[in-house]
Amino acid sequence: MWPVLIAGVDATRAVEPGYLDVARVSHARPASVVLPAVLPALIAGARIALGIALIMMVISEMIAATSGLGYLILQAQRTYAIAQMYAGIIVLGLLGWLVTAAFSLVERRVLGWYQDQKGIAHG
Amino acid sequence: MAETPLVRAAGIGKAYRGRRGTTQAIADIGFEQAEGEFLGVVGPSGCGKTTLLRCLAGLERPDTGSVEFDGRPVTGIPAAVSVVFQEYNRSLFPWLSALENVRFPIRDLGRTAGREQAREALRRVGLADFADHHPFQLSGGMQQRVAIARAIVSRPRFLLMDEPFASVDAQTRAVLEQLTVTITAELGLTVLLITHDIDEAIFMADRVLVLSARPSRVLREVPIDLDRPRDEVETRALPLFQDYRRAIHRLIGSSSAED
Repeated sequence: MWPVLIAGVDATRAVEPGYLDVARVSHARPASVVLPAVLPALIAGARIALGIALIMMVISEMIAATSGLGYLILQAQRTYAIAQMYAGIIVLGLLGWLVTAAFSLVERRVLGWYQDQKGIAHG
Repeated sequence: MAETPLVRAAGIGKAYRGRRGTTQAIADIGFEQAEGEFLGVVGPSGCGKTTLLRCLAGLERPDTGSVEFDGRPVTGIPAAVSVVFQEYNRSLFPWLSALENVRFPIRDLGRTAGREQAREALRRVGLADFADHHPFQLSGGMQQRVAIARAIVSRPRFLLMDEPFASVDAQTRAVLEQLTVTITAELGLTVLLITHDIDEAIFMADRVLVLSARPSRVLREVPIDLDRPRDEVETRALPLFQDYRRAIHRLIGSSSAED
């Protein structure tokens, strides 16, 4: 939430005034050029937020829950169920990888123009 | 002029208030422009040419004086006015293809009709084959062509150009000047071209407005009596062209020397 908000506010302030002039002489709403212009920053913020959310989820499960992946991992560790503990860690890793991959896919779709322009490798 | 002018500016003045006091950008500019006329505006750098354009386009309100378009005072941005801005990389949207950039001013027209019209505009500027390219995939000259296509796509009555060829190389500039003269003549557009390039103004315009240094006023209006269609090589070689050139350079030179 916060990374997205801060990135969004910052990017909105930095929107090229030239874009706004074009919007005005074309009788378009400013939002129609501000939104696409700040989208890369919003997505970058969302990417950071995603990582934080995943970490927070697992940590809070470790500390204050009686179910969930974090709980499972910690419980396994405390009961010397080493295999189960590693299984949990691997699942957690896979989960993170999957979510990131899905996110990249979405990013590629909405920000293709930006990635091409900046020469960012696809994927 | 017998007919009523399309554009009439009277006593326009505009100051900018900054932290270090006010700067009077333009002092008192007045002129009239007939429908179909190509007007060039030249002046030393920093003389408030862009400010003048912004006032004419309705992007800014002048402090004093008034602008009339088609007999009505300009308060907002008139629908029949379009602008080519100086820097293409600040005016073209990087997230849209060339075609969609051109379609932007007529996006309410509907997709199919709008695209057809945008394609037609791109054809006029010689970019029919680059419709699906994004701005960053095009050269500077090509990007400015896209900007020109976008400015003419809605068939405006009044086209304002703010140093449109300042950020392209000399050869591209010559090509774009020729292209612009041809297109605007074909469409019968009324054009106001702001430039610091005296040769460019003489080559393209029917009349050149020479501005003084800041705070600027109109030093003189110079009617350019060169035959059309004009040719980038032949027209510039004419003795009359050289005479205009000399005269305007002297005017601007003497105005700067007074500071």
